[in-house]
Amino acid sequence: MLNIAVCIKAVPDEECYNIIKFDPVMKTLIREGISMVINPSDLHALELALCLKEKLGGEITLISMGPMTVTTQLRECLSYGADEAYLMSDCIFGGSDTLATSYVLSKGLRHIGNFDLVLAGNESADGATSHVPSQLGEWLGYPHVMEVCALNIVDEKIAAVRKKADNYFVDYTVKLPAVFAVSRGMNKVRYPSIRGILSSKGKEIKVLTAESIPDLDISMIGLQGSPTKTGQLITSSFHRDCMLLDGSNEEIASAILGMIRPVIDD
Amino acid sequence: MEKPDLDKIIVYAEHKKGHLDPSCAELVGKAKELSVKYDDNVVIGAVVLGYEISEVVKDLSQTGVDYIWYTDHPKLTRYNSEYYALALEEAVRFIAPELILIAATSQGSELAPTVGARLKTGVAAHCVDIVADDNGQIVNIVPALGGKFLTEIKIPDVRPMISTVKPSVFVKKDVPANSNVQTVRIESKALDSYESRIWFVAESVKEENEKPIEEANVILCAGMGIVDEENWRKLNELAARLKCAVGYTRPVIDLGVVNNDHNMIGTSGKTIRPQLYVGFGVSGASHHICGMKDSQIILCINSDENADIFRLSDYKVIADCGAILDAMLELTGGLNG
Amino acid sequence: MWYMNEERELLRKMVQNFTEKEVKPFVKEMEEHKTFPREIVRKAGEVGIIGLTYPESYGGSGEDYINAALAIEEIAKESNTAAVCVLLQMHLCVRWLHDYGTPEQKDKILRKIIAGDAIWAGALCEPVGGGNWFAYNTKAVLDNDEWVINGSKIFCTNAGQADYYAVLCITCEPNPVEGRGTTLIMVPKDAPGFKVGHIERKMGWHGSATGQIYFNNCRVPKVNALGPIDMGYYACTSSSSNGTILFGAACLGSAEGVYERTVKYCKEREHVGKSLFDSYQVVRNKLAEMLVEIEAYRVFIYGICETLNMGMDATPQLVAAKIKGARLFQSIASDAMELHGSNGTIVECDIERFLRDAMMNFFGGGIPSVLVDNLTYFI
Repeated sequence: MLNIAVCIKAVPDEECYNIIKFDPVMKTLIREGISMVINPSDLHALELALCLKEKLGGEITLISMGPMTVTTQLRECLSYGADEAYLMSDCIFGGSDTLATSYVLSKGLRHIGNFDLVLAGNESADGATSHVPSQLGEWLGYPHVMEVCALNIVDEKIAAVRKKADNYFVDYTVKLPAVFAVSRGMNKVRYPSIRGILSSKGKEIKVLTAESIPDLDISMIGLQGSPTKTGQLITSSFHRDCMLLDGSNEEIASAILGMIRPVIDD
Repeated sequence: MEKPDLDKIIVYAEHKKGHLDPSCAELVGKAKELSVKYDDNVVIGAVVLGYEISEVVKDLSQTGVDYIWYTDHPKLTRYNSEYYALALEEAVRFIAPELILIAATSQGSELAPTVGARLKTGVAAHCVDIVADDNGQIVNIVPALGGKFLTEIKIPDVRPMISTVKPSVFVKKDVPANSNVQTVRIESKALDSYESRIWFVAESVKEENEKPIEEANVILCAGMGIVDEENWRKLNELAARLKCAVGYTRPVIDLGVVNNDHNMIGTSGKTIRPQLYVGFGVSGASHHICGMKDSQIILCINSDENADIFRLSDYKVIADCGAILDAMLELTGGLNG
Repeated sequence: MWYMNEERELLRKMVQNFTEKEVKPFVKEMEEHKTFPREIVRKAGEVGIIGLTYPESYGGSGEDYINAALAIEEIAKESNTAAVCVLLQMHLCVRWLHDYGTPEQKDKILRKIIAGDAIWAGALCEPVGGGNWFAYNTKAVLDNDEWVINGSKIFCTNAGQADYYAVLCITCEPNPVEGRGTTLIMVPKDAPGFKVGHIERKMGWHGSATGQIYFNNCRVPKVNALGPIDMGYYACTSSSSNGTILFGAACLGSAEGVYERTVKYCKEREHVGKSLFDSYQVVRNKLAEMLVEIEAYRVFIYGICETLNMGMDATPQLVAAKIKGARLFQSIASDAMELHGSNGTIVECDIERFLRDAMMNFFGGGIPSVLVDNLTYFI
């Protein structure tokens, strides 16, 4: 029986990135009409949790920090077959950077119970810092491994993992409890089953506010607990003048080869 | 307003099999550039961790750094995130720099947030630039929303600041070696007594494409418009014949034709700046653009004349990429080799 | 919409994702090679779409017609054929098995169908006899513990693809007045003497296999009789026809699919510096008229679903929905052709495919003129 926690983040739908506009006066994003989705990497972490649960039994607890609207994404995660969901939502959590976010999540997890495995997506689609898994591990005092692309539970105390490093793979055994950041290549995410969807209706999403956690240090959270301060947004423009290569397929192919050949590596 | 102090910048020097990682020189170059802004009164140092690393330390002394701090310990024989984080934390506490630059390699991406959490300081991830503003404040420029926008990150109140930079993002500069490099060995007590909870088992080298994609001169990149396994096979065949590297965008992984994401190009993958980038069916999603925009020449083939990628291409071909692949194969030894 | 809630939105989203990943890439294969979407049906079973109209005791998720219609509507936005192939496993002929099968038969077969692991076909039509089932020629006689079947069926949907065929056989002297004379017999695809004949090349629904099947001293165990012996007509006609609503949902979904494609086309297609949409009032009005029809039909369909969910009879409404659905889909598809101009006739444009599939809805599951005739019984 494994107790697995999966960290979930709601992010703007990548499909909407091209319609996200930037307010040049306020220097902020115009979020209107931008739908939120479950961070794609997190679904791979959830899939791993579901596979482990099917194989070894156990419970899957979801945890997220964000506004109350994140219940939608948590409900969706429940429909995949997770057992419980907690949303850490409080206006004083707002403005947290990765250090403060991971602190809040660690306090939430400690409050909820004891976990053998804490899983997270390797990176979020919006911020993409990949900091939270490691920092969560630090706050919890657990070992942590990033970019995990295979994982097996050896016994109750030990997991065997394969980590994707720059151009190679490394295999480790890791003492549990531990935090693992799951890489997208690890598995193929299932569809939530209709049974799962229909039974998610009965599952309650529990909300944790700052007050729910007695030993939460307020100075560590939100804007004041965040060492990094985000400045204004800059629209990145990488425009180049583009020339059309025209002609028959052969002519085009030959033109491209003419550009490739002089610069190919020895 | 008085300039905030910036006395020491240190670069975390990664090395593998006795060789310094190329990212090291890129980071030292950036540190030098920053030091100019502070009237050159900045010590630029490097921290290197490992076991029996005197050769690496010697190489490091040629990179233009003023100081080298190193920890030489059997427990650092190979990378272990717990031992390395412990040693790096210890070194940083000892050195007390204002700014730490770490390459966002697999190793650096783990160490930076870990050490950041231990020092309760901020980490700016995947900087595309690091500058000093008029007030002498360090400003990190980082991608936001998958590279669609850029944003500034400052760490005003806590020291040290940590910045991570993907390999190849900064151009390597020729920094003359300092003839008077100070080398300091840090004796780690903490390492002696700590036992890691992560045990190394084995390492498997990736077989195909031994050379990292970051070092290739020509990269053929597959986008979702590549559509099927057949075209993917053709692209690889063409790359093999021309000795080019092959990269891909994230949707290609989702198509299921590649079995790992080693050579995915983009915000959560590799950053490349080859002499020539040839995109096959690449649409130009912002997270991909972020990883390839610095290519010297960008040529893209897409059947959609309105594809976003054309906006940052030097050359465009509006055609079915399968047909162009066929034509290119035909001209390089025939369709079936 | 009043029928939506959080779970149904999740369900809709899941099927939308399923359609994008599993159905869309297979459309070309179905159209060009007439390949039956076996994998789509299997996966639809796997994720629980087929189970939407079956009780939990056989692996379903309860009979909620709104949920079922939502799923079929989503699939049909991309492919009417795929939606029909899936819905045929969700009710209709399979309902005979559900309503009249023995617990053993259901345990063995229904469970597999719901899981997507088996395909079911109903075989009624014959070359001679038309709509009069008592005039059919396919006969089954008992020889000890086995039925021996001789004859043939035409227009058998899923011919050559099904694992089980529910075949209507004459088993005694027919007496139409008493409804006596026929028995439904289940024939597994590997039964000796069973043969699949010519598969028709149809106008639309490429991918759905329609064809002839032959029985030449075909032998199946006596226990394969489905429902009351000699009362097959009764079993067929008294089984719940609630699943008919899914044809309506498929027509609704496909009409929406056509509408959305047309809106996109009209807004993107340039005409003298402006889009078609911006250039012509007549284009905008036509799109608005399409929307009127679709939205009215949506409320109609889900209203019936809600009625069925409440356990009430809606037979005349089901017939009306079937008729209206085919007409709606056909008229939307043909208006869309007009707005697309010559582009609409091109295969890659999808519109001609939808129009061909729309026409199939006039025949599959009941011809409107016959159905209208059925409706007159309620007047």
